[in-house]
Amino acid sequence: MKANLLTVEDLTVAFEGQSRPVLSGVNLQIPADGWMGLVGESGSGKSLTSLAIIGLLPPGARVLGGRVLMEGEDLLSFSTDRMRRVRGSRIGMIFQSPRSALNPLMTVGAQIARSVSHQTGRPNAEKGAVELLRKVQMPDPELRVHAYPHQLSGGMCQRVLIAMMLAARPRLLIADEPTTGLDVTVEAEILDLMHSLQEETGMAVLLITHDLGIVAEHCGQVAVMYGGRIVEEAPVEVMFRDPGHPYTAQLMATLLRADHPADFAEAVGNRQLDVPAGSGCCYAARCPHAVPACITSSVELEMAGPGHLVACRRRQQLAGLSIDEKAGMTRAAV
Amino acid sequence: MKTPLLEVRDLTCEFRVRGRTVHALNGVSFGVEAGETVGLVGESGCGKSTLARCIVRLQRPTGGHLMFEGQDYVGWPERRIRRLRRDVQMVFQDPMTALNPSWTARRLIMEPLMLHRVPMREARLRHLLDEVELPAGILNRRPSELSGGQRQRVAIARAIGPSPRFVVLDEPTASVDMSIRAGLLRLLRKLQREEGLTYLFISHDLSTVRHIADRLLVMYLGKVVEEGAMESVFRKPSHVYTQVLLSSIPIPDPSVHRERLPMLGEPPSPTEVTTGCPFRPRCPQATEECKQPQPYYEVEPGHRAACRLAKPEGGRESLARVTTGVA
Repeated sequence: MKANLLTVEDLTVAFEGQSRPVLSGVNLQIPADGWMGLVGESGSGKSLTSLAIIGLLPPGARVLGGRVLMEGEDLLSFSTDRMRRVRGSRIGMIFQSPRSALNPLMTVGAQIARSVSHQTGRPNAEKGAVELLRKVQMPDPELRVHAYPHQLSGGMCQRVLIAMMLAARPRLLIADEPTTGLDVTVEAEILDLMHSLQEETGMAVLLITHDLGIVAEHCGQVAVMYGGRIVEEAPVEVMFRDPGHPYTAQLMATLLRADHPADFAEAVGNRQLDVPAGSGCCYAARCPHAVPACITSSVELEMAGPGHLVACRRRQQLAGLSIDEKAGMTRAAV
Repeated sequence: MKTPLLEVRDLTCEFRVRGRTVHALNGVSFGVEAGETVGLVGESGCGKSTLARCIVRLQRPTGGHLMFEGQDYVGWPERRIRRLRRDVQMVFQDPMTALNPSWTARRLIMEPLMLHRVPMREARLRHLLDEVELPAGILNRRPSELSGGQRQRVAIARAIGPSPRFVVLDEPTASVDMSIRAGLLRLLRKLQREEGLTYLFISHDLSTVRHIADRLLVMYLGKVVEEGAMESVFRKPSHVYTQVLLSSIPIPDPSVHRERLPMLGEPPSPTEVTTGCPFRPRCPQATEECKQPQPYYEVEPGHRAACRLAKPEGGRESLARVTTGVA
């Protein structure tokens, strides 16, 4: 087992004036190289977790507890200035809308050059920018180095950001939905590019996505979030073959495979329990296997196998069920 | 030959943008038979949404023909088009922007019923709620108070309210989470069966399209480059663009490893008029021949592709050439 690059311990974050935390006790170990996926539906806390790691929580959000350990230091204890130096050098980040992450008033070349000189202290980094653009397979890099973000397509803007990452060589790259909104062909190109960047630098990638197809293709380890908690973490093959948590099973049951069309899975019955906020398992209200104890007392991640953690009280009773059974779903031709 | 419910023939649509002409649709032809679902895929900017807007005549095409049950409505005045829209409806991509944010679900669903003078509206409203599987409790809520899946169900109820025959679905599941997506697709299929609907399903997500559509249209830069039965296109993709596209779909199974086919360069601009194959500048297999307009070659019955590589051995191309778009 390789050492972890970054460890999130019991991270709890709440918005001011709200009693229920948006992240409650998130635990995550990011291995020192390779790809880790973080999946979950919108509002599950994926993006907030990554923003907490890099110290860019939105206004009103406060860390109530926990630690973010990187190379023995707790990033949460860093000053704003010190955290600014961590971003870009030790942790890089690329976002869903690459154009909005770039300065609209500067040429992309100048922005890459700034990132290069910021890292190396070299003032004349502009020449390096063309080289970097070539590396990220930007067509006509000599021309594009003088372009402004609005003159480039979304895919090209994402290449510019990747070029900046290539210059900065962070230990950890957090990619939050980096290809959402791009065409499937461009998406494949960008992910391949990120792959060669990862191999070249040996960095770790935390890929936040809702697309399990991308996870299956690129990630070694996957964590699943629901309602502000990690409900399962597993090696990717285990996650897709034998998910332990009913929520993960539901994700797997509702997958659509282009290479293998199947009937749509449908929930058996319409179960909606009334669950008081803040107590018990976050999925209990929707879970087809919930028992009263799931509602009344909380549940922690437990080891289910090598590298496989599941936060489900009924894990052992559910073992051996099919994915559809765990998800509480059936398939009927409509 | 049977008359298709909807027929699009040689449709062109041009826009003037900053003194330049954008050819959003560059001679699109196809037909949709009653009761089927035709999936339409292609990259952003290829003209998918322009085509959708032309079919419901939110956009006036520059040339060509649009026929519903054999009647050419391309030149009809707005008043006549409004009556046509009782039969030809559309569901938009993002219900958050397509639905008036200050209206309640009741008013939103009621509006098309009143516009099209549907009788017994209150009963129809209740029936529609049942049909799209929404509880009556949501009727007094506004779009912002509904979940993403509920919003899209309201949008679907609006579209099917006047009992249309043909519904254009423009990325109807793009704005919802994956756990909601399967439920919406199942609902659309149920409605199709119960209400006898015909769908044009537009999406950039081939995994979704494969699960809902009977036939597939592949567009590239304003042209249909391949068309055929879903299984036939997936089994034998014959235009190079279709092959690249299918090889790019991520498969949610860690045990599957695909070989992705490459493309050259970056997407060409729709302001440049290309004669010949629109994919030529990006195609690794393009030759001089591809600069000539490419006819459709029949791959299998009802499956055709406008690519020289789809040409049958022995030069049967003139026989396979299809001009009307009805395969």
